[in-house]
Amino acid sequence: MRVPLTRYQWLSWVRSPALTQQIVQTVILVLFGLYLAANLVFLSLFATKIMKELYPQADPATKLGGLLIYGFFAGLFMRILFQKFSGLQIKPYLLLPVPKNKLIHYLLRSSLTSFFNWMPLFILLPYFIQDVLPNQSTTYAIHFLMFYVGFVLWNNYLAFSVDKLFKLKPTIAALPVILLIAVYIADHRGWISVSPFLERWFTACMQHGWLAALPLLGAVALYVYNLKALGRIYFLVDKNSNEPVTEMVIPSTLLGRLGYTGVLIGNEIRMIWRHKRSRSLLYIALLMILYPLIFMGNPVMDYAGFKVFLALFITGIFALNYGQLMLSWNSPHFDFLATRQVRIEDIFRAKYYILAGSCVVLFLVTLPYGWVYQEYLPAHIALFLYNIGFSIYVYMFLAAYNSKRIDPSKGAMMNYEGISIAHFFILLPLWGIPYLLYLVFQFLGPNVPFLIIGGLGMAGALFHTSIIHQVTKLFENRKYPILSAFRKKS
Amino acid sequence: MLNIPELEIPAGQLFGLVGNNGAGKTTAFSLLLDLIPPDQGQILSKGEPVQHRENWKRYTTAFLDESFLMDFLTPEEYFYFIGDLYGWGKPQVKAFLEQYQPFFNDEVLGKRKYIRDFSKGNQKKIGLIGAFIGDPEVIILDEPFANLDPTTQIRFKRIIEELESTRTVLISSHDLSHITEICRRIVLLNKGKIEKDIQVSPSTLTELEDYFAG
Repeated sequence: MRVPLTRYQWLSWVRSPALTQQIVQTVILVLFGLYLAANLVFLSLFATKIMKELYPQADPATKLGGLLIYGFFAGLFMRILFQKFSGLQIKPYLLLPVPKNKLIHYLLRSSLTSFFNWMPLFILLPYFIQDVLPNQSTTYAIHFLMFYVGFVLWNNYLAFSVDKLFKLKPTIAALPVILLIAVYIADHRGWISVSPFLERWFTACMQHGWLAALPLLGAVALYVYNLKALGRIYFLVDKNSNEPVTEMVIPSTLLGRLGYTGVLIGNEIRMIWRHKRSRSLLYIALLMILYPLIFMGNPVMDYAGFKVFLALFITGIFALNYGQLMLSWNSPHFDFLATRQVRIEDIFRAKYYILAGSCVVLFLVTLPYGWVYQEYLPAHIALFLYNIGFSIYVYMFLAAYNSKRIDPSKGAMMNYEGISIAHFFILLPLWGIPYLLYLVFQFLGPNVPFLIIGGLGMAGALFHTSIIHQVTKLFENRKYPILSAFRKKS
Repeated sequence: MLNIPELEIPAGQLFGLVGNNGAGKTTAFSLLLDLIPPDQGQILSKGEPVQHRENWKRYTTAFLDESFLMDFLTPEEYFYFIGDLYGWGKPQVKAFLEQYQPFFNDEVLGKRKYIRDFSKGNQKKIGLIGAFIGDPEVIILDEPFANLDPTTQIRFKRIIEELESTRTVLISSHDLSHITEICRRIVLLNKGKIEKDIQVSPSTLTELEDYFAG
């Protein structure tokens, strides 16, 4: 009997109540993917040139080979953090007379269609066709393809095993990424030498077929292992799936002074930590803190437009990611909040303090960049103020007009549940305004635009009570549509 | 579609709502709680409209479904959170929960588990008791008996019976014998209309059973 699993997957997508939203998301995702792919193809075509420019003494092919291994390791760790392997919910099929192996084969095969597998091809293939095929021997070409494609497959199935079999905590999963960034920086600065080793590895692979075939063999072995291991663990009912409780003592003296708002803040912090999606936003913020390290000593740091965006995102990344879904985080229990003695204004105030608090923390943690790059400091301060005195209100405004139910227990990466086209129309100007202000006022002096942006933000932050009061009124008129949207599961 | 010309529930009444699926029981409760707006007419609580007001929230609590739980909290944290909303300190909530120990049957408190990891029945227990915190004058419960085990159903009936007579309790249920046992008045809905409005007497159960048997 043939079971059309792919067809059921398709039907579940087409018949979802949030179909239009999903179509919009898919279109945006595809456009974003194409943009990224175009960038990668471009990079790939110019790879030899770039290598020659950056490392005039070295052989560009070897240099690139080593760098690619770096990139693929980074890819592996990113996958472990972010790649989703849900594919098909196979539980409903376990009761039907469909062989379990068939379902697991399907799961394993469908994981290959992931975005994470396409992206490496975009960087590999143009280079392969343009530079490897005409200039290198056939053996080299075969080894090259076998090695890197094998690497992609190996990464895919290793991430698959980690996701399905080990259920790593994101705290632990994030460690290798941070470690890799640290190694790369140390290597780049010449404190340790990893790249020569990677280059030797690459050269050896190009010479010896068995070495080049190792990742591919590993991928096959992992496939078989997953098949066996998943067969043992997939049952109808999960046993012992209880998550251990994280105790949280919320400092009551501080929050007690804020009354109801304080109670809500305490609750919200618990919510952020105990839901997968919101918790992964904390890790994204952590990665963002390290982001400027990549540009250390790079002339792009001197470019003022870059400073504006860097400061905007580095101090406001959590506020952006968390704030743009504002009330949707509470959608699973919103009926409760709506019928209890909780004023919507207090909820918004609690959200404000949390979002602004995240900006303060990120601002302080990344302040040392301002000491190292003193030209960056004005942007850092100004955009921090812009975030707490303007961006957050924009997210609140967005919440009143665009609220969708989300399931906060799903991971954050590639998860666009609750995000709609309205976000793009509202967020793009939000990011454009400070840059525009910069362009307009830079002629009056290098720091004048920052004084203006910072002043605007400062005013907004000082009047937060009355601004929140106004936003609340807006929300109250939209209460019923929002409540009904929050009840619709997608 | 719910179409009710007028329905008055006096303070202190134990009020039951019965009807087949689609009769409008949950819709009725959602209207009372201002979760959905009426197309026409209004809902008054203590003579004051429910819509666009906050006063009724001070003395009204409800448990309709799992969206009234905060599933990322432990039961204790959930009860303390509700307590905080009514100015009850932790000791007061703790003492309050003490009297419901038999109802919880050692399956809820001190388990160090998030509400989302409890079974449906235990989640229901948590939600029901949560609706009693804060000395509410009006308590609205949708299908409180569904998912509860027989022992807990009986214990829950006792809890309702032992409430002070000043409290107004609104219950919907498909369990005709339970609801006739605890409610003083039963309204039967059919396709959004009030079919019967009965002051409960010993013959009510038979009357309802005859009706539903068709």
